[in-house]
Amino acid sequence: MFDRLLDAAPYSLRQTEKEPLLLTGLNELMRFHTERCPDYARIINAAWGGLRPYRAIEDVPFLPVGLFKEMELSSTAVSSIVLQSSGTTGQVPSRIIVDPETATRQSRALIATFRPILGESRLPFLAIDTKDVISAASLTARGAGVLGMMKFGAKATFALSAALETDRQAIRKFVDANGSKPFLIFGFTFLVWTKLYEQFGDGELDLSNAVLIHSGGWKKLEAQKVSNATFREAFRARFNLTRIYNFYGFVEQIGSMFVEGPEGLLYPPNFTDVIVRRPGSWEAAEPGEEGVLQVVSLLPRSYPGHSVLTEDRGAILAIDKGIDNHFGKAITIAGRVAKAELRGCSDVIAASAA
Amino acid sequence: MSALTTVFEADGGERQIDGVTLLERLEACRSLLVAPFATERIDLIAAVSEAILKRKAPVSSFAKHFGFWIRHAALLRLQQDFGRRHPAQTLARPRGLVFHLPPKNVETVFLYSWVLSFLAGNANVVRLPREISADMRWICELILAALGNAADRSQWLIHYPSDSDLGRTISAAADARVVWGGDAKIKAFETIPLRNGGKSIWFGDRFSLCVLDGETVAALSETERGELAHRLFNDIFIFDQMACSSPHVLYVVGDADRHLAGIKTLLQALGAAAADKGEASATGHQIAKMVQAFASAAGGLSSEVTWRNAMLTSAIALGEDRSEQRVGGGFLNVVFVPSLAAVSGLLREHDQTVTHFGFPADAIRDVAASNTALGVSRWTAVGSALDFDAVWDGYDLLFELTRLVRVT
Repeated sequence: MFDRLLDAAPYSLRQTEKEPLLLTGLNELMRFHTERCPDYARIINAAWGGLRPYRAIEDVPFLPVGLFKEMELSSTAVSSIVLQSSGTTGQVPSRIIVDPETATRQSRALIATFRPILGESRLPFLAIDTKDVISAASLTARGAGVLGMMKFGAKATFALSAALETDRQAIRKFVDANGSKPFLIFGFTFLVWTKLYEQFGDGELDLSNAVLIHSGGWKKLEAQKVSNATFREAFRARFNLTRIYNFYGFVEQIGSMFVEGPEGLLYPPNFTDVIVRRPGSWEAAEPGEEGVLQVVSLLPRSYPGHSVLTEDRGAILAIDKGIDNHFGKAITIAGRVAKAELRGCSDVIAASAA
Repeated sequence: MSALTTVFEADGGERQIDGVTLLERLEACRSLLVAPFATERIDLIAAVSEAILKRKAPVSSFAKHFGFWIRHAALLRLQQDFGRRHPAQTLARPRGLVFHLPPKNVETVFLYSWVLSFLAGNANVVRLPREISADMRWICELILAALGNAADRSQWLIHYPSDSDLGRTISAAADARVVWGGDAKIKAFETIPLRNGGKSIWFGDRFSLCVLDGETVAALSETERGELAHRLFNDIFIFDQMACSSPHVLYVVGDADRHLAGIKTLLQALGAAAADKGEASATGHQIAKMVQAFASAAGGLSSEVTWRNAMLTSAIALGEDRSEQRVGGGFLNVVFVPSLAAVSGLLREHDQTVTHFGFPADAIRDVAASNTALGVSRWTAVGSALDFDAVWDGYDLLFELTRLVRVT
């Protein structure tokens, strides 16, 4: 099932073809994880009324993504690495168990998703990050992203120092050596903007042969009034860089990425799908209606992350439009869900005495 | 004494004064004490009550409750009760200047602690939080205006920056201090002396719970169940379930086989009542509650969790153990226990209020009497968890804020 979905071009399946294939895989994963992960089985019993065959993708149980911050959920006996999400400083990281099998699935998925954009040969790779990001004791989401993209790059050049300062010389040297043929730039959206775009003047670098792939969300840039459209236009005007792909993904489902496609929307590949849910009842919302995103994926086998409720809001804006051979659902992300500040008798901010 | 103090005034305005001036004023008001329950003070508070209760515009439930609590008849009852509690051949007299430090978030509590201290005849200085709700401001203005009319200069509502040393300065001038806001706030203030080693009343972090009789709940009619759900709603959802007396756990006396169905129907009614009355929790908090419920299921602590409700998430415990989970914002653990006596064995030192439903008064009195360990200062009917009482957290506040004079 997974192979079949993986071998086809990433957005080639119509929703009606995709759903039955995904559903078979998800039902199989539900059995797989309830058999191998006792914690997961207890959740399915207590919160979902027990395992049963699911007739629609939206019936498949999900876990809230925050649960991976509370506990390590494992469905594998094989020795594994623990991925940790970077999150925001001071937050508890997610801990995701990845064994060799799941790692292989993730990297095959990554290749299937990006090959159509990046081609068959390995490209010179400029990472808008520090090399420390991939050598940290526990891998962060940023590190995992860079490591993943290195599969497409020949030899990586890191554009930032350990303190995240732009190494202008390294960037110039890289562009001088590689700028005449296609090359890859990858980084977190905010770093790409502040450490690449803002550090060079108009026309200072010729990035017309670059493919820029970036991710990580718009929250910080929105504060500076930088939208996706502004971002794209700014890179075009300054560096003549036009092949830009934003993508949406999260550490709890590494390898399942929604890449920017026609109309600036984000598209799940064949082996991944998205459901928008209404807070409160948590029923599936109508197309076009904004809600909380649930993402299902056939990748995770070493941990029960095949169906997770994210903390991101978004809406499905197109289904099977077929522009540029992009079928299936397409979404836009509206931001994070609202947090609550609870009142209480205890003064949380203590209490400086006098 | 560098920082300025903001003084809230009778005309609704604010004035800044320096530390030296503040101290002079506070010193002066120590000579303006009156006897407990002086007629002019009762009348002043009763007038505030009338103004609150006759307001035509909608007022929040806390304001209504406060207005009702301080109506003239209720004040007279407080006075009578207080008189009856006196030892023979004693007179009660005010303690002096009382410094009140209300919690930042449950700001309404200061109204009660101030009213009681005012009725006790004391001079009072209250540090208000920087931000207070519109209704709260309105009540403060009513009080200040009434004090202005009565030319009473012994009561001060103030604010000062928390990083200044004014808390220390005012403490040194005060004869008693009422500190709300939890363990951290106590820690911050317990080393700061009062005038002549005066007395502090501390309100630390507390946990509260509810006990239901499974059999009684199972036998409720739909109307009765709705009524109970409505009372539970008040206990749980006002102040986001984060007041010290808001219950976090429902202990059900009975067994899951016979009583779970009735409890689940009750929880449904509660969820529906909450959805009816309240605004939905922030989506992020709904998800946070879902995470806690799922984690509890994964850990083998819960047999069943219910999370498809915008307001209420609940988890039915597998065992009979004490639950310390304090998620707030509409999260309940349900634990079945074999008897009321078993609940007594689960109580801890930091417990405050046990709300109860379905038990004879004698049974509650017996279990309260049997508990000689520290912890639990209040057993009260479901629906009144947040009703402030002059006896609170183990203190008889009127007694604490007066001194006794033996006359023989």
